[in-house]
Amino acid sequence: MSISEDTIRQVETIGSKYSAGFVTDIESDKAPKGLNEDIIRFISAKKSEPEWLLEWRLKAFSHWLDMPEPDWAKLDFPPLDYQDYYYYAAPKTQDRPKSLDEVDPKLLETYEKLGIPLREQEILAGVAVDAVFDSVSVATTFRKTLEESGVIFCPISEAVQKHPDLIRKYMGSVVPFHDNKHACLNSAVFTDGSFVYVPEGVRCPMELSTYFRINELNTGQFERTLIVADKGAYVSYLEGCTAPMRDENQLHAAVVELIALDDAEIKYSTVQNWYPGDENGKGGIYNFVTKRGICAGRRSKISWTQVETGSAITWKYPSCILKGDESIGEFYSVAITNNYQQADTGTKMTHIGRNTKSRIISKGIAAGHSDSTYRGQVKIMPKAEGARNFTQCDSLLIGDLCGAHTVPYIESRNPKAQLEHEATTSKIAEDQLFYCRQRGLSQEEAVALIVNGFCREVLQKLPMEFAVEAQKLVGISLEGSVG
Amino acid sequence: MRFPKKKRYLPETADMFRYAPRDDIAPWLATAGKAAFDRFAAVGLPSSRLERWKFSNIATILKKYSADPLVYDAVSSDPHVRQGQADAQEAWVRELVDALPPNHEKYGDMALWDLNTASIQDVMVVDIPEDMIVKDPIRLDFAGKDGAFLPARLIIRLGARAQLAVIEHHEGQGAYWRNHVTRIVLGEGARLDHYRIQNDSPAALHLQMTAIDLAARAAYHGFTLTEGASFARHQAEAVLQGAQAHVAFNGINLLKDRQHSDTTLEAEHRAPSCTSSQLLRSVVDDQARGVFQGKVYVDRVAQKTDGYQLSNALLLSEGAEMDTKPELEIYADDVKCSHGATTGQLDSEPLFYLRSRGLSEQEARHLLIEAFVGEVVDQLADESVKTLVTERLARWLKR
Repeated sequence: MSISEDTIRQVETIGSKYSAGFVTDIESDKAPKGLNEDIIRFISAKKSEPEWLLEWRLKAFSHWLDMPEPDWAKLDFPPLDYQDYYYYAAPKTQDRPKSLDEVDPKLLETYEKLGIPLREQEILAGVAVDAVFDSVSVATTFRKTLEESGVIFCPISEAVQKHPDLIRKYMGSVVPFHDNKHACLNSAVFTDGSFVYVPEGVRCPMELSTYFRINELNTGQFERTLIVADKGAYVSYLEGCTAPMRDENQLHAAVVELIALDDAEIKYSTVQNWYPGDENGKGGIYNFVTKRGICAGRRSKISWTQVETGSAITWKYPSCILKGDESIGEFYSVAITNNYQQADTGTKMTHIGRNTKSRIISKGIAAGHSDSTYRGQVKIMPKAEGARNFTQCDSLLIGDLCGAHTVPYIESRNPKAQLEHEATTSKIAEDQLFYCRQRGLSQEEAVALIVNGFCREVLQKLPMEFAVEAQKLVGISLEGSVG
Repeated sequence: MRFPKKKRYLPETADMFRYAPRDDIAPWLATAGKAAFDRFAAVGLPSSRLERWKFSNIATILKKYSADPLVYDAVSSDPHVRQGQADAQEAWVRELVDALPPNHEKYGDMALWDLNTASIQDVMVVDIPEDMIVKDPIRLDFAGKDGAFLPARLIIRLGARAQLAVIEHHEGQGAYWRNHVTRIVLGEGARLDHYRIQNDSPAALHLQMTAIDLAARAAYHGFTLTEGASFARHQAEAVLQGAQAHVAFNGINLLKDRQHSDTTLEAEHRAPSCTSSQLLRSVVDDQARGVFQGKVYVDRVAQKTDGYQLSNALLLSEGAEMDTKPELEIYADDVKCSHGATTGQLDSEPLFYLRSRGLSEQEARHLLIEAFVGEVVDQLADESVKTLVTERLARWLKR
């Protein structure tokens, strides 16, 4: 029995197995639908922002109005009606809770259901979490422990008030507001997100994590994350995301900026599990994310790891600008698409400094009617003597109705740079499947095992807490794609 | 406006050309030419906003020529070649001349093809009937002289199981502009070995497009040596229409000074069990720039496809540049497709080894470069071409 026959049958009978698809019934404060200058003023006022930030938002908005949408990605979706979204929604509470005891129990319950027990995690030392619900941050754990070591970890709206100098210096320095249409929109209407500053010589004592949740109907989520690692600092940051199952397509346009100074290291991991839409391609999140880091200092390092299993549309290219001499950029990615999902994702490594190194490992798995594209650029500037890049992108196709594409751009302008790129596309080998089946695994277990092996190089890069979750997610995402 | 609409074409370049067919041109060709010229004049030459022209900016090249603005009349000085019984008046020839290549809609960047149709005076036809195996290769010489615009349309048709080898030589003096279109149709089980030795003058523009249709079990073996022209564009696309067809695009780029050479290839698999391979070795010296854009497209029905691409580039000096874009677009699951690309300088270890055995730095470098392109040379089936390429390489290294 061939896989493809099974796939056709299975794709037809596949049920939605998205476990994070529930809705939390909670009252919320919403700005009116639509996007205009008044909404931006409203958001800015809600956050009691200083004048310069409002100016910046309005400048971004006026750019956004003229800017064309990026059309080069291999994605097919109807034009977005930006006036049909709510740009601000916040759970109704009096003031920002001072401790978890004051957080609405309904919210705590939501996060518990998602497997992010904020309260327990406070007790069982481990990960500090910033939970963002629709447009606002609802809780940040472990603040005290972090403060003791000098690490700032707080919602970005709070950082604007408390650390305006840092925000002014770094926000928009890696992703300028006019970078692209989606980043422009984010700069105009961003509502919350996390800010991390690790001071000179400090190794952040624990993993930091932000959990994003879209709850409200027709709401866009526009969060902004800014991480600065000062000289010799180290931080590992995790990001998770889910949304309820809804028939409408919801919009998520985030911006993430990372800055690593001399000898600093930032490790950024994402497990993206936004609602992918149902088996007929109805609903799901449009995920347009601009993520970029700059290795500004010598010997600095930025490492992106992503497991992308959700979203109806993924448009995302976490990139590194390797400016400091001997700096290192890494990109490890697993992108799984099933049903009618479309993912166009990859990275951009720009080598500016001498002896800069980058490594790209990308694994794409396409099943059902989905399309998965790796799009990446490695650019060696003339001064980047001794630069080194290694790229490997492998694609796996499950079934004959899906597509897998590889579009790398490799541009070298220095003879002393060395670049290697390799890519393969294939299906799961029959003999591997047969071997697993012979040893008593069901077809589905066997595929999950083989796919996990295929992604192992990337999954290993995830922090322990996430690695287990990601492995399970790989299995769930492919459920029903094979017999 | 802060964001002017990005121009995919350069409309002002259309003014460089005038539709001026000769009086004795066949009426059907005049009609086809006029229609094509109107299509071309409406858009102009492609700009680097078009994805397949991303790395090759015609506008900057033309600036070099714009000191003395030239208006090109279509003048064809090429020989009229005939083999077999074909006649340019025959319906099948007219159909091939009239139509754009099969996958033109995918990219919408066929302005140069239209310009070619508008400027040809006649069509060169090579038509080999079924089962005929032509022993000696056909040699086609394309000359060039200063100030000329040189369009040529070559049509090669091989009947079922026919075999042929074609060797093209491109040479000339002064600043001229070549805009060639080659249309190839291979019948079941036919085999064509197609060699191009491009040694155009250092001031020339060499633009050429080749579109190939392959029936079941047909095989196309293409090889291009790019050594000449200040700006060269070698674009070839094969559509594998029948099962078990095979296409191979091999090439060697030897670039120096401020040369720009763009190799854009596509193998489009539309039938099961076909194979395709692309192998390019580029040696880029001085301030030259090499471009390789290779694509393997696999349709849903094209199961059991085997597609392979490899581009290796050696950058010999500061200022040299290599841009590579090996692309896979795959819609069938039971396939084996892979690509590899490397860019770098000569390895220091083998250099050291050779020097420690008494070779001079230069001898050692030459030996390593010879070995680098050697893999492509070794695959050449025609001995005379093999000798020629080896000689040219030696001369290029000694320059």
